[in-house]
Amino acid sequence: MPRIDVHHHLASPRSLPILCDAGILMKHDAEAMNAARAIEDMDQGGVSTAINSLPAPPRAMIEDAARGAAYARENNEYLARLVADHPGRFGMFAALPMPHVDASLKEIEYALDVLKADGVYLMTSYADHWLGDKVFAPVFDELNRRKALIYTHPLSPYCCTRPLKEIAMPDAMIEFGTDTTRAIANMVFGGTSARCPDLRIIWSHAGGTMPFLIYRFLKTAGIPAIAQHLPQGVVAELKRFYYDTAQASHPVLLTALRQVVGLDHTVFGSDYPWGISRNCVAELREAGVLSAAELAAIDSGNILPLLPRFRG
Amino acid sequence: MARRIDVHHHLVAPRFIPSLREMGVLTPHLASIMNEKNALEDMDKAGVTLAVNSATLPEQIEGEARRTYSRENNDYMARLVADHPGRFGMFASLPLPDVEGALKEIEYAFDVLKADGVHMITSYDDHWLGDKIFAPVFDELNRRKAVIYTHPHGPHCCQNILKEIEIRDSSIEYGTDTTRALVNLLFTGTIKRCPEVKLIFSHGGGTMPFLVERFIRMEKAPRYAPLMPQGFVAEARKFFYDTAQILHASPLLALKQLVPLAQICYGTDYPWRYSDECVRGLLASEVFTAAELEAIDGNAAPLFPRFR
Repeated sequence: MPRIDVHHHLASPRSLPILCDAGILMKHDAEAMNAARAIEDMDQGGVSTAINSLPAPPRAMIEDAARGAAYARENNEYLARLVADHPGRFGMFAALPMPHVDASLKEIEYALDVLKADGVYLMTSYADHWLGDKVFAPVFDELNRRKALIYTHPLSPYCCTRPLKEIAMPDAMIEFGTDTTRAIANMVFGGTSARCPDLRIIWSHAGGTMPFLIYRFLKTAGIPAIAQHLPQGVVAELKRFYYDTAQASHPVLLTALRQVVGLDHTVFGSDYPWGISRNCVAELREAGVLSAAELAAIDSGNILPLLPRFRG
Repeated sequence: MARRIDVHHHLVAPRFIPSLREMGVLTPHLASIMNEKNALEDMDKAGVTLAVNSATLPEQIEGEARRTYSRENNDYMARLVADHPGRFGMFASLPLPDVEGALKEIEYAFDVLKADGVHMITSYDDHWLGDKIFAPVFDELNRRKAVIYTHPHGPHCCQNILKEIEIRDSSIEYGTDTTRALVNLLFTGTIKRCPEVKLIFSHGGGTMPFLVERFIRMEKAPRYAPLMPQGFVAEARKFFYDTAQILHASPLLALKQLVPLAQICYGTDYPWRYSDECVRGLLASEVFTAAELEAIDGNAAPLFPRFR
């Protein structure tokens, strides 16, 4: 049975020192971020294919369009080389030099037409503009025209970097989940989701915290200015999205996710190198709330229709 | 007789209602029903026997005005307790982040007014509960073995940050702020130092239940392990959680899986939500049996000995 990991981070050898200097990678993370180590981890976890994406970008790449564009291009070419060098083992979600719209449109064209990327990689927010903001409309319209697959990942948003100053709590613990929820809300309640019906979007970490806040989402959806964007209701929009299992294999999370959107759009993610594939596989089984059929669907059945080159 | 105790119930002294309207904290409708008469009617409709009141305390009210606001609301709440025997309890307002003012109000509220507990906001000026600036307050509440009811707000970092959509901070930011406070209280060691306080977290714990896997991964770090020798979940299972604004099977099932039933307390969020809406929502979620629902109605009783 194939197992496809949609939440798998690698970066070009040239980027690793930059990411270490920016505090995004620790030395041991960087040491694990190469094809040989990744394939070893995949083999131990029975992962047939991993779709690679970068770690969160350093702020310099967000704030400087030219640097951001060069960084995205160099990494996309590296990720494309991995796809070519290891047939069947790697796919790629192309990096975009967001929030710079023109540069991102150019990179979409290059990544999808020339490099044949499987989709694109977007952060949930850039400089406190969340996905769905009007400034990003041309990017979403172009991705919608191409019926693109979008994999999203949270970061430490500008508003909320290390707010708990007395404890050394990485923002991944609380702030990442909320940033995903903000992006989902902004996409759905701002109308981008309904305007771009051909997008397929994967949200990391089982949707951040959205499933736990669903009652608030239902109430917000009833506000008239927002309801106009939701002809099918908010739950219908949420069910169109995909949700990965990275850092989200606890029975409490899986049960809550199932109650909101079902599990037929839930897809396997390891969070390599922060997660270890074989542990993720084991934890999903040990959670004790998924049937064998659900586990198989999460491993690959749910995502394969979106990844034509790996359909075999 | 079956008890139904609402731990999440907001009133303020009538004299402050107009200013809360001006600040935009209350809509005209909310302002018109935020009084004891409408509250009792709402409680009677849904069989709520006891509501423990807490005052909305916006951060725009600062300095000396915050002390006055807290004191007058506490006097008002104590009058409600006396005027309607058995129907109202009170979580006293504190003028935090003013620590000295808060210590004075704790003494007055408990010793003179006989409050059932105190009401704290999850953060003040982007300092979350558990921050060392609040240590004297927690130490004093620990000494008194006090009940602390917590309520989130939109903290400075994150007010109205989704500018293009008509969403309130209560929809996303409140939940996160509760999680930040709960985590900060545990991971700073405040709970280990103050084991006698009894904490109630609003809205089913904010977003904590959905992020529990993250905290389980953190608990073994050498820095934190001594603060929670039995692990994060063992500590999370000691807190109380109310049911306000989580009337859906997803959060309710998550909470039920994570904490003992005895820690889940009925809460409405009156006047933002009505009591019968909460009763019906809990039933409609189909997460709890009739016996479990009855237990949730009364789970807060041990926290309020004077109403036994």
